[in-house]
Amino acid sequence: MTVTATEPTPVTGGFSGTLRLARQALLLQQDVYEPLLEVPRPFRRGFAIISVIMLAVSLAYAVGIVINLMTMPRVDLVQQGIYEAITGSAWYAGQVTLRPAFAGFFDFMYGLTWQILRIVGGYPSWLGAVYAFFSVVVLGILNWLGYGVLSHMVARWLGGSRDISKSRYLAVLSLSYAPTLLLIANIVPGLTVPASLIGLWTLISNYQAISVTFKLSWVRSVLITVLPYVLAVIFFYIAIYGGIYLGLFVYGLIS
Amino acid sequence: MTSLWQNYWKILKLDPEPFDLAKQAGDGIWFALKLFVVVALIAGLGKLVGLGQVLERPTLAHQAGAVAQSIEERAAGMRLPVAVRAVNDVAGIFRAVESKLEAVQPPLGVGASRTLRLIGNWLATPFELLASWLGFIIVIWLFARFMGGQATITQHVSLLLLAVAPQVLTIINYMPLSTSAANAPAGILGRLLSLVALVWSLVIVVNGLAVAHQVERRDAVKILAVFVVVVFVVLPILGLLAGVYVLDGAR
Repeated sequence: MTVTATEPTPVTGGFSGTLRLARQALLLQQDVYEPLLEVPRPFRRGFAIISVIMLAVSLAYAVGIVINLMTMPRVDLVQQGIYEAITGSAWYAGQVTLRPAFAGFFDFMYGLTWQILRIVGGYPSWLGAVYAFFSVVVLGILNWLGYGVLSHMVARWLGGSRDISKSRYLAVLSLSYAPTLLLIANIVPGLTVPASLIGLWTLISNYQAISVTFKLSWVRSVLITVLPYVLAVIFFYIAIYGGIYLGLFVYGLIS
Repeated sequence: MTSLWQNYWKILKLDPEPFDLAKQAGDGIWFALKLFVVVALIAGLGKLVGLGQVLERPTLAHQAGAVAQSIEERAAGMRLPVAVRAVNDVAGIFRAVESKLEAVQPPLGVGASRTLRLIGNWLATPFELLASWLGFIIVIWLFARFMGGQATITQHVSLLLLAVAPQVLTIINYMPLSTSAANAPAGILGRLLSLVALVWSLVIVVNGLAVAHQVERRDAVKILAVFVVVVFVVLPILGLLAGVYVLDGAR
């Protein structure tokens, strides 16, 4: 079997052009990132790339929910059926007679329990589809921006060139989120792509994007890749505990 | 596909050709991923053996009916009329649930839906296997680079993915065998074959490390040994000591 080295795909816009680039990034082709350092309007380009990736995933997610609904019991009918069975029982009638407020309390707890069961059991729902659409797109873009800003800051600390602007770096980094496209496979009923696989594959792509952008040693590139997550955890705990102490302090002042 | 199978046998025999192929820029990782997916799907065929069990599994309605039956049998053994009435009320709820659930089926039907979901579960096998391997592959790359290795992350991943080749032997582990005495020989055979697959895969990992990082095989063995000792011995001990220290401080 003869193998020819794949030429880097030219940086073309549009949905199909971006997906072609994403395929190469997904296959860990490091040379796909280099041309993105020279594109005009790099932030817009990066935003377009990350949006295409997240939109493709969220659209597939929505289609997957419809397909999954065809292979699962109608959860809303199950919920309604059990509700009618319980509220039609003598026990329920007795409880409502003893405590008139029981009916409202039961309705609230019953609805809440089924919402939790739907989420835990992975049951698809129309509300879930709309939520997933926005969460994949919005959270994906926020993740790209947040990680990009933090890692750019770390890269500067570790000797990265000051000629690399945030917008150029974000353009390159956007393509490293191509592994998110693996979630499209969740369209198939019964198939769940592990989130850890997406996370680890994206970590490798992030490292490649960072290596190509800052051209530092492999050790520094690994540190730039990993330290933003460490910083994010530290900021998170500072926010949580800082918030708690601040709240206690204010409460102490008031009382 | 013929070429893929020829390379598959060569990988098992540690023939250098497929390893050089996987190391190549461009198509190397695609070759390794194709092999990984195919081997994982073959190993995962064991899941499809459970199709009969899946189709015979009681529906929600049947399960509700079984619970109602069990409650009614308990009520029959009770003496206090109040208790009997209360328990029969509960059984009545489950009977009502049973009749409601009988009317609720997936739009495609129970059998077709379960079959489709089982096929989806089978197709998930390469993703699940890759998720469990990728963390180790990344950490081994770090160790290899620290110990003088030269491979890029892409070359390293491509070559270590080839170690999946012997994993077809784990097909029995994917079968949903019950823990009855009748299945004991199959369980023992499955574990023995898994052990053989593990050792064979480790040998391929060593070879892959040597080719990817351009080191001698004995250096590749050292890299793997250091990884195993640090990750499976040193870190757990440190974690245990840290836990004891924290708990001791808390007291």
